[in-house]
Amino acid sequence: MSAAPVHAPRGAAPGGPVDTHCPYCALQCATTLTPEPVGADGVAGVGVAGRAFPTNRGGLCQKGWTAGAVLRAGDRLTAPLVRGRHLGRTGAAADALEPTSWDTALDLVAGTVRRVQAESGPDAVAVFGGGGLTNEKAYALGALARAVLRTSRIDYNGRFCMSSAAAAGNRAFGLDRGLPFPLTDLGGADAVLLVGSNLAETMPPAQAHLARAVARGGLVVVDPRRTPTAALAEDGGGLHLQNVPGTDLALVLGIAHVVLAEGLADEEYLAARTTGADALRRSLAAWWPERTERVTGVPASLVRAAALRLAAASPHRGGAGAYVLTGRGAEQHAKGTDTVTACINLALALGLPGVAGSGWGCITGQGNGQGGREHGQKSDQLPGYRKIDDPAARAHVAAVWGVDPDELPGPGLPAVQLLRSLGRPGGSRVLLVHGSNLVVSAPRSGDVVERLGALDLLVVADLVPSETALLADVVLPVPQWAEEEGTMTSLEGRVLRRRRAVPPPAGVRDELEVWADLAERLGRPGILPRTAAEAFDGLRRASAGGTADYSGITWDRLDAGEALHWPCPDDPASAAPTHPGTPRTFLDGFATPDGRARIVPVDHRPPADDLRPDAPLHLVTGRVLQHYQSGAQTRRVAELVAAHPAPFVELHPDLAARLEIDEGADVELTTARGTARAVARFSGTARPDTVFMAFHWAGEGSVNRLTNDALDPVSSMPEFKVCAVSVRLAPPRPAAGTPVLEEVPA
Amino acid sequence: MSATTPAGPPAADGAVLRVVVVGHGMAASRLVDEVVARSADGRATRRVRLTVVGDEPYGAYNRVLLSEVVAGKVEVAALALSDGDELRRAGVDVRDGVRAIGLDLPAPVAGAGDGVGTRAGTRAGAAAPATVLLSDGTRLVADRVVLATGAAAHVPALPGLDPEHLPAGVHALRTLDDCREIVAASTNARHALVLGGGVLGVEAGRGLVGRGVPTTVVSTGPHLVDRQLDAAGGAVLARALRRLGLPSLASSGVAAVDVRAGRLVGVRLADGTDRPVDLLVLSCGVRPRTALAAAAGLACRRGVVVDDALVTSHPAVLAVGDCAEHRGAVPGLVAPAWDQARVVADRLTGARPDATYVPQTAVLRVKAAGLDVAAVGETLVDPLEADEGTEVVQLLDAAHGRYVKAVVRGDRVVGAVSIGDPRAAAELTVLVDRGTPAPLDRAVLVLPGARRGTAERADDPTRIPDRATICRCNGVTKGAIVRVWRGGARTVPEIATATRATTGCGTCADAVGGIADWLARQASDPPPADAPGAAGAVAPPPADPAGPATPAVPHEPVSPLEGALR
Repeated sequence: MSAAPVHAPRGAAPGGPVDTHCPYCALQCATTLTPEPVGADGVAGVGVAGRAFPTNRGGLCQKGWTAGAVLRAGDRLTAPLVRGRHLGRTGAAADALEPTSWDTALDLVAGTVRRVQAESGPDAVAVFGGGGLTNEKAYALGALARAVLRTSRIDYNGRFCMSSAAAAGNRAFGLDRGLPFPLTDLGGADAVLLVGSNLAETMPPAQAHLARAVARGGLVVVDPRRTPTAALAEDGGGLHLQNVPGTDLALVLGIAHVVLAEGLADEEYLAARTTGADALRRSLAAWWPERTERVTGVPASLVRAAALRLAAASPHRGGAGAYVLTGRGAEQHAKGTDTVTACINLALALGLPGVAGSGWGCITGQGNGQGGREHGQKSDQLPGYRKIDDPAARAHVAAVWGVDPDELPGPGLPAVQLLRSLGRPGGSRVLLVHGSNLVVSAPRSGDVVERLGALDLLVVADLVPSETALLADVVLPVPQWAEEEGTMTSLEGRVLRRRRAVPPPAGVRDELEVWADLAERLGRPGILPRTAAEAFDGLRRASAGGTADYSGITWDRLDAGEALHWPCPDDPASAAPTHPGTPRTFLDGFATPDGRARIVPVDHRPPADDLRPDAPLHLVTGRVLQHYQSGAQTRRVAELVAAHPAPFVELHPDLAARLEIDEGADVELTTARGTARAVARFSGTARPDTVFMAFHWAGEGSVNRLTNDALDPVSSMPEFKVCAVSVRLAPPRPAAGTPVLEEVPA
Repeated sequence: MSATTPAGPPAADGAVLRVVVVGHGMAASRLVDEVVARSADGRATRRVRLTVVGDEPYGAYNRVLLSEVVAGKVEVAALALSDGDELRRAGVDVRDGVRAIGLDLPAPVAGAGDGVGTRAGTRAGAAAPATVLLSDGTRLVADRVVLATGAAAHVPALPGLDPEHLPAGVHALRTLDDCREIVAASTNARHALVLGGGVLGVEAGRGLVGRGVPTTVVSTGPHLVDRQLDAAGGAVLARALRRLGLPSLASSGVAAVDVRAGRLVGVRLADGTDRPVDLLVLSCGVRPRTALAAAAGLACRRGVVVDDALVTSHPAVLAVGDCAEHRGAVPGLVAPAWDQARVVADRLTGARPDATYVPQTAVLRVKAAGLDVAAVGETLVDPLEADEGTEVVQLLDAAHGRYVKAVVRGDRVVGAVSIGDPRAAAELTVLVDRGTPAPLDRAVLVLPGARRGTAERADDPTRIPDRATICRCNGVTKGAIVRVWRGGARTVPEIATATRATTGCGTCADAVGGIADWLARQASDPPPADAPGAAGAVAPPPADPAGPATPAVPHEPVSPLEGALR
């Protein structure tokens, strides 16, 4: 049923089937949308079917199949909303969100921006973007911040996802492309080490590419939980290394120790393609397997076994290929960059990166988590992965935008610091949020809610009244995936076309138009693109010559079915771009000045918030298959809600027995940062010293009320993945009629 | 004759603390790294000028892994912990191959007895500096001296053996040189004997057997590893070793050695039997090297006595690692030595001027191929004689070389032994180390394998209950597949259309095909009287929420993805 034959992408005929990609994760499964008539709700729906494509091979997970339902969510936003007090209302109406006209909403935003910038300078306005925005919108949002608002204060929720892997990739290779090879290359490997990735649940169709490694017992999964991915490994004779939370770094050091100490390293490769191997050897001498076992709880024999399997699969020992892949489980820590660096160092010791059929990679999470981190949403970055403090980069981008390079701001603040600064002296007073439900997805979210409350004006663009939108002063209704044009860059660095299948509901306006209108109101017309095609053209020129060079990519080439992975530079000599793209980077050398990968020795350290007598358990966080990120979309799909209706906390039965908690009971969890409440679910898949919560829910069941905002010193990634928690049976709820103060509207 | 080299620039302003580290083993190396790290990352509030003096000609190396080198598992090159050039670039004065032979200490000044304490920069007024005299005649001036002189292998007094001049064929195992000599000797050895049944003796013996040298371990104690294992543990270990080709003799010892022409030819055991032996490895424990400290007048018992700040009886001298005796204990393990190094680095650099050393539970781990032994914390508690409030659970499975013991007090595991169960070893170690609560059912402690969670598996669909998920990607249960099959969806593609099963990653296509085949076979047999109806009818939900387990029926597998994509 799902196996449409390979064909040129469709979408030209109005009302006909349209080829595009799934709205959710970075796998960007290919889909065909069949427009459905406009319903009684005034919204056009679509039928969704999987489409044959190398990455998803026609498959979709339950989220993808049901994505059409989000278009028809009962509470779609179709008019701008403004908090009554800004419209002169009093009493209860002052606090209510009131539908209004676009002109009223944008006049309010522009007026407030002018006022606070006049009073407090350009940085009084901040912008928060998202890794789900198209490349075109990510690019235009960066231009809005730097060239129109001239604020340095822009960052995005990718800081919470990709920043550690990006920092480590840049540090080692001089370039950050999540997978520096096509995903399908995994299919030829004998062994794959997955550190902190639950691929089978977060990106289900991708696991087909692991089939060979699974069948050969070569899948090795590092995870404190026995996830479906870990089970996939064990069931195939591979290994599940079920470590103590927060010890991925030590475990990888232990594996690398065995590789180097037992003579399994690719010495020729280390000598020819890396710098720093001797320092690596010395730093690893301290991580023999028995010491690693004491820190990680992983039997020394399994540490050795993992090293041996990876080595046997490595090309220099005659294997068909091996990969080391990281996910959020390894990255979302205050030592995430170093953990990824340790993984890269292991891959380098085995001679994998920059070799066809082997390598290191990071499994990008959000739909455009790759493209979103390349084109200027990051606090220190300009389009094309250029550095904002590089004079040549500033001059190049300023020329594309038609502004004076000296007008461009310098580096701003990474996400958590930016959020912490809101409404404080020196911090921003107005925040524009696009593509992010940050009161659910940011760490220590109780503090985030408080900071948002301290703003002069919070502006949120969203599809639905997300929890963040409900706190806003101005809510701007914007289109969603099947209603917009643009490009997305998938986890393998391939640029994909997102095509419009149906028009957005009346009243909804595209962000590009909204931003251009805002720029005009602010007296900076002509800088921002008004259409996605125009934006992509700007992005091409702005990225030309940069690290993430898109200048050789055109919509026409993509529409003709070309598979283009960046970097893909333009060829000025030819009439039209011809560069074939770069499916595999680093084959001829790394993107460092000397072409060698830089080995940076790293060492383990405990979590920032480690166990203590009043918080004796680890809290780890993650996802379930049926929900995506903050759940703003998937919590509006009946079929997905039916599968996972409410927040839960996963407990080992031993732990539950000790705490006298029955399955299904309400559990109260408390950390140094807050308290949450969720339903107990028993599972033997967790360690008895660890409880698990997924972060897709808002309100009292939101785990990010509890998570730690301690930051990685290099990437500024918060420590989402582990903190110390106390757990008890929840006290009875207040009697009916008693106000529940902490309730956040769902 | 002798040059006087200040171990740092003269510090008229008192801003730089001159520190000489005596010894360059694992503790010293870690101390140097920790000081350098604190100076580099801004945690240090005081400048420290380090000089490190080591009598071995190599830089610091990982002594823990020497037995692995004997076993041929680990390469010597992988032992290096430091690089002299790199340390020099970081401003450390590295002097390897030189021995500290004297220590001149000023009379302590009253009130300065805080070690390095919180009085940053007060040394000039506190006391005159100390002087360390080196074997090459150099005198190093130091505001603080850290003794990290380690321990020396104990060579027992045996008739026929001169401890100062061991004959060919007799070796201790403490240094890299010892290790190299044993490896060299093993190539021609015909019969080896390891004297000492502790961890290192067992590891060395296992390594020699691995190299093909017939070897026996002989111990004076009642059983192997008797300081950490009880009799049952020792017996299980001895059995496991015998299976690996390494016999052992307990309650024995070597009465005399037979040396001819400067070469070992045999030993006489305690029971009077003579054995031809041409390689004798002495693994009889170590003795802290305290001579330098004692000569300088520092208080020494078994080791150099230190307080919780790791300061000796002289306020300007600290001691870490195997030479230091803290609260009466000389742990002789690397983990405490490294903990101590961190504390001293915190104090010297001012990063945490009030840091103190708190001993952690000792973890003993045998590193030997085919052998998995861990002993943690309190291991010798007798299960039948334990105090009120102390519980002991154990699993004795001698036939399979398995012995697991856990000692629980309150709800914490305070001691554990694991032989032959790698998972138990790892989990118990973490439980003791991190103090996480023990499960209510203590039996789980000694049988961790029995606790493993079993995820729902789709590879035998006919056995699993209806609520079990077959297609995880799309959340399709076996019950849902059964329902649509009875509704007329007979092939995998038809079932896929009706349920979306197989349309994610496609790996459940086998299972879905198997269920369809099983249903087809069932339908061709006469249904039992109470079975739900024939094709077309929708099965009612089972009364039991878990669903009835359905009988096993063989089926032909369908290749993955075939169903979804054909």
